[in-house]
Amino acid sequence: MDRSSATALQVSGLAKAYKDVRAVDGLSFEVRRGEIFGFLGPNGAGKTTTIKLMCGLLRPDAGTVSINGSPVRPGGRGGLKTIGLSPQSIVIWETLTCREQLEFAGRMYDLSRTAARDKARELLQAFGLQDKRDKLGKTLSGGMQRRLNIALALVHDPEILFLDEPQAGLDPQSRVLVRDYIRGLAKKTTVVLTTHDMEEAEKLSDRVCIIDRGKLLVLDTVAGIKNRLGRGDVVEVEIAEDIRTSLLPFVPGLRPDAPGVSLTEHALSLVSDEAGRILPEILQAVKARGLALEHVRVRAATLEDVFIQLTGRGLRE
Amino acid sequence: MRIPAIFLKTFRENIREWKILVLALVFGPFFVYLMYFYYGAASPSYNLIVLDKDQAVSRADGPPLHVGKDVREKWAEAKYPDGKAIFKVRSVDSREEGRRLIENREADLLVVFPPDFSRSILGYRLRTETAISPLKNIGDPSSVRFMVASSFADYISYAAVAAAAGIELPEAVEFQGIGSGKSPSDFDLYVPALLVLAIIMVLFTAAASIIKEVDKGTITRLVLSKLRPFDFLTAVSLNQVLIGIAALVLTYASAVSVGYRGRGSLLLILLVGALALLSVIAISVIVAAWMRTIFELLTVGVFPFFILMFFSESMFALPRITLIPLGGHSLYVNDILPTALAVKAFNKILNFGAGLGQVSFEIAGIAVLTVLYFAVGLWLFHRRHLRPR
Repeated sequence: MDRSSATALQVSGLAKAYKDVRAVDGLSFEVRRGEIFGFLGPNGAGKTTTIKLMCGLLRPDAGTVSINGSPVRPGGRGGLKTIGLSPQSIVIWETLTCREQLEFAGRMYDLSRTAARDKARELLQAFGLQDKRDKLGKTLSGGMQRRLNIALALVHDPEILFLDEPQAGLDPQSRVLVRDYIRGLAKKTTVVLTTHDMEEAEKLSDRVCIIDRGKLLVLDTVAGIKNRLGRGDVVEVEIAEDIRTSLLPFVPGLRPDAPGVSLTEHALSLVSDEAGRILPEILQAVKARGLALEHVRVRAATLEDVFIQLTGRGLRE
Repeated sequence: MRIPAIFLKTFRENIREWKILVLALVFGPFFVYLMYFYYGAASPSYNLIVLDKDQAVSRADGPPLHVGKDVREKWAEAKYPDGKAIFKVRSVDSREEGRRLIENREADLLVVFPPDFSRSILGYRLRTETAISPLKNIGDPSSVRFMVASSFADYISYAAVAAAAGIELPEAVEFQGIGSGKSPSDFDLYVPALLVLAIIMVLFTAAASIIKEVDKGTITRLVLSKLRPFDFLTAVSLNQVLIGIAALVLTYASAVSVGYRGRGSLLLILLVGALALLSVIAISVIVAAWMRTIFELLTVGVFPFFILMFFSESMFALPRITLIPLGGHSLYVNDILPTALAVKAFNKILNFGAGLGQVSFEIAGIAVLTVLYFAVGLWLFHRRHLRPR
């Protein structure tokens, strides 16, 4: 199969509003078979609503979703065996043991008793829950519950796996474990991943889609996005004085409203492929004005820089 | 194949959430012992108190006439068919004392004999008087025991006074009880309703089993799987029938342990019980359709619980308001609650030894209502919790 062209998931003109709020506003994109698709956006951007629409858990106001060429019918009988969903909130059966709930979930997808048992054993092992297999869900730590939450989405070997914030609340060891597992899935399973952890998204995703206020802002590979929007380096400068009044007016080549410039009271961040020219101008102005330089750094642009550049620094919730 | 898996899962959850389970199981027995404590040991005899001011009068042709004393003796001798006394008779010295006893519910009926009671009867017999001085019955009109005690007491006193006054009563009335023939205590009369009360408690465990999936979000996992609402509700219902049957048996066993003896077949009780349980589960699906959290169930959900409890006559009898006559039976307003029909069926089976044929109307009624409520519940549950919004 040609991995690069085969479409696993197609979203066309998807829209959903809650009263006056347009949570999803005409989204269209495709997810290729077997890729890990990073689905990013700030809080309230419409990620979870979009995932629910893609899973058929919500009825869209407009647009269509199709999986492997077949339209997703919201509320269609018989379930969507091709889909696995690990929701953002932890959704487990608190009074069943880890093993029992994995086996039960398998049985709900018509796995035989033996197959469900084998799959449960495999997933408990894979997610480091083997020692906790006979512990009730409610007695697990938050991190363990999160791992179980992901494992429950995998009992039926779905073709498309939706992971909504899978790494929230995980310790570093668990993050590595989950990351490695997701990477291991990529060959055979299409993964749609939402996360606020840009580093994680950058490490895992084949392609990234950034949305805000229900609209698609950008969709490309991480390198492609950085090349288009975050080309060059990031210059970070921090001074003790108010940077807008005491420094910026004295750097001729730097406008506060220029693309790639982010400001707080004392700090400046600039994404530019002309960092080598602008930084000496800044430092010269600092010296000439007798300002107290607290921090200066030049580094390569990351996905987070692009994300902030696209969605802004303002808090959403 | 999914139904056994859901059944096993729900069974495990019920066992592990043992507090709700224990509540459902002990609710009926608890009320049995509570009612027995208050009513069970009480005698079926009515407490009759007498303020006897009647003075004996001498007669030329015989011993002195003291009808008040005679009537009191007749009351004391009156017995039910099983030999138990109908009245416990005692005297008071003043109307105030009698009134206090009535108000404290230590007595059911106070009868006041006027001072000239015997004199007026003798005069009536000798045609020198045209009327007999009346007795006064005093009691709490809201008390059923006052009404019943008055009826019995009046019947006996009429006969005694008529004999003393030389009046020939136009007819004699003979009392014949149906059922076991023994005089039931108030507790005995409560037992059928207490069995239904145990069944109604399943409303909480059944609704909780369903709402929990919505409350915790696990309904999403079930919706995404191949599970059908029918599979889920069938498995939950089977579990709840088991819990309900256990509660029913425990409640009945508790009643038996304090001396209650029902007359009908235990199998028939279980059959009616199982059907009534299914109907309560069907109602709990409707309740679950309107709720989203366990908290809502334990607060707002109390309302349908009380509706079932009161209008099924589980606590006290209600006036009969006929809805429609149906095949030689009357369908009353509260019969739209299957538990009301269950109370009637249990009453017929336990107190009158009714067989299957004699409770077939109630059984058919419960079955029809169960199907109806399940259909409504399934539709509502699907619409509110399973359908994409």
